[in-house]
Amino acid sequence: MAGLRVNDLKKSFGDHEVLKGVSFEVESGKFLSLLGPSGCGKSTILRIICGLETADSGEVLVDETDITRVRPEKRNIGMVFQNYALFPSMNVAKNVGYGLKMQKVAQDEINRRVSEALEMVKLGGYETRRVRQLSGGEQQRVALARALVTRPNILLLDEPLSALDRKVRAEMQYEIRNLQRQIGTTTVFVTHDQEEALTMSDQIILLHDGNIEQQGDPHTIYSQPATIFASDFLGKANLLAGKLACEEGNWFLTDGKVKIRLNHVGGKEGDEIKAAVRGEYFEFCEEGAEGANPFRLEKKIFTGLAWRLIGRLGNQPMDISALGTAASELEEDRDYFVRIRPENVVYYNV
Amino acid sequence: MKKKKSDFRPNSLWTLPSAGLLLFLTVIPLIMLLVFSFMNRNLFAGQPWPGWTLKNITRMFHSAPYWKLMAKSLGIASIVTLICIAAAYPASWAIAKIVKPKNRSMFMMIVILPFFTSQLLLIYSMMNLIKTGGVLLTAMDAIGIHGMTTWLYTNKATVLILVYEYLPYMILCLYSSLEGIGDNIIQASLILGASKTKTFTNIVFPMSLPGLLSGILLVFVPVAGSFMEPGLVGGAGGSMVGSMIDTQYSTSLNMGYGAALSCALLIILSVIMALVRYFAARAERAIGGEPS
Repeated sequence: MAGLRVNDLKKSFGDHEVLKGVSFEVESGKFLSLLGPSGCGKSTILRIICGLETADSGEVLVDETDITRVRPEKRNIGMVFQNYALFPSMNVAKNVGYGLKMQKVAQDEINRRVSEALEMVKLGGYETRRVRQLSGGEQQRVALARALVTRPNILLLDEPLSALDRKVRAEMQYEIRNLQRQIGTTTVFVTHDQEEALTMSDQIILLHDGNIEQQGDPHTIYSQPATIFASDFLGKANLLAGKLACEEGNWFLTDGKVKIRLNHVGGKEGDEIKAAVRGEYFEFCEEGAEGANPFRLEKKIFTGLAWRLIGRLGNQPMDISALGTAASELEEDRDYFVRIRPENVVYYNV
Repeated sequence: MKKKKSDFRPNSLWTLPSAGLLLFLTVIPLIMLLVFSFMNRNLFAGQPWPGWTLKNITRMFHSAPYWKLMAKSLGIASIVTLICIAAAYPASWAIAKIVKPKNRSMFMMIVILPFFTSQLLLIYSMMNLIKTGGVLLTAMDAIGIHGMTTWLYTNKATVLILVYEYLPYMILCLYSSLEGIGDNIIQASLILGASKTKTFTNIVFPMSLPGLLSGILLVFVPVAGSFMEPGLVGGAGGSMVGSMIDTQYSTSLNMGYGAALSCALLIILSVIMALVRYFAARAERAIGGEPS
């Protein structure tokens, strides 16, 4: 197994600077997600790692060996594409065995390893099927088997699940993660779906506009977004504007109408700040309870798992989500009181 | 239930115009050709009913010039087809994969531009280009390459003109196949460790086979039967099998014999095309991992 390190990657297409010096490291056997909106450069990083694209500057190291100038066919990297990119002129076994054949492995050995790889992705016995006869999910499994059968140093996944429907996607998320743990291939996964990144990764790198916005494990990234962009991109937090205030050693955000307690991490009294608060961290409470703030419920939307409660906290728009049982008897156009724990509030100076 | 009149659902009646054209322009003439092959004399020469005969067929089998010209024509058709394939692959690849999508239609336009003029005009302009004292030889003389003689009125000129005329068909056919190969598929092959050559033979070539086969059909068949080009630029020894058939109709007025020669050419070309398809399918299955 091999670790991957990327140093100061820069890349421009014409005038457009896609990567502005990106560096990161993936420990051997870990699962890293590159997360970001389209155009943030995440796919370009993947293409540079596998050699389909050349960086303007910077380097790619696998186990401290510089492979920046190595041709793609010599890198021993596995890749799964968004649209699977299976070879339509070949059956399943030939597709999966292609990489081994290129390595001039003996045919007996190829057959054995292809069967193993197909068993691994739960497609045992599919050897002679034509690629066109397979469903999207099955095609993606074949693509995964094809990428893994050569025992690559690094596995790259370029939005491999985005063409699948929701149910199959959830299954595949779980299976890819399981498989990756089982065989321990260092994996870089590109996605724009924050939920997918949170579910699958050991580490997440959030990219924005060619730069790394935040890097960390899923829980930290979700609960402690480092920037306003991060808070908005991951799960769409509410942003509350206000001033930093201190009373008897406790710190608050106030805007005249609301007063939200938070853990002080910097800044002085009177500073203009923006606080990111996630809708699901609110709880409803009685008027006058500690930390209670007025919430006017304007609209209730049922989303299945939870209710989305749209309204105003003081004067500022606020989206709260609450589980079905807690929210079912709330009524629109009524005033309620809500509160939130200080550790769930993250704020930024503006 | 009352059937609506403005109904655009598929209906077998829609095939009538094309079926009718096919019947009148292909099926009936082919039957006539076959019938004429067994006729004694010219049906339309104002003579009484000529009667049936096998004379045309036996004469054909014993005609040494016919089989010699047949072999030559098939040879020329093979050479022209091979040159067209060799020239069209890079050209179609460039248009399908290297040229930006918005410029592709312009390049395709350039490829089919020759179709906008009459074939005869194209041939005469090429003749002007390669004749003694023409643009090509004058230019070569000017840059210091002396003593070149013209290809005009040789079999080489026939090949050249035929390639010129039929190359666009091959490019169009290959382009349509190559364009359908996703970039990701080629990239996947590279990442899996295949060199560019191996990617071509294992991935691109089998995926371009449908286009290649239509290209071969559109080039080989008409070239094998061509008679105008060898007549104009092939010179004295330039005849092909099409020229001989043409002579039976236009000069010798021996329609029955001409029909017999045509039928034989038709059968031979059909067999060759069937063989090409059979071997292509076998190759495709072998690459694709299915028992052949």
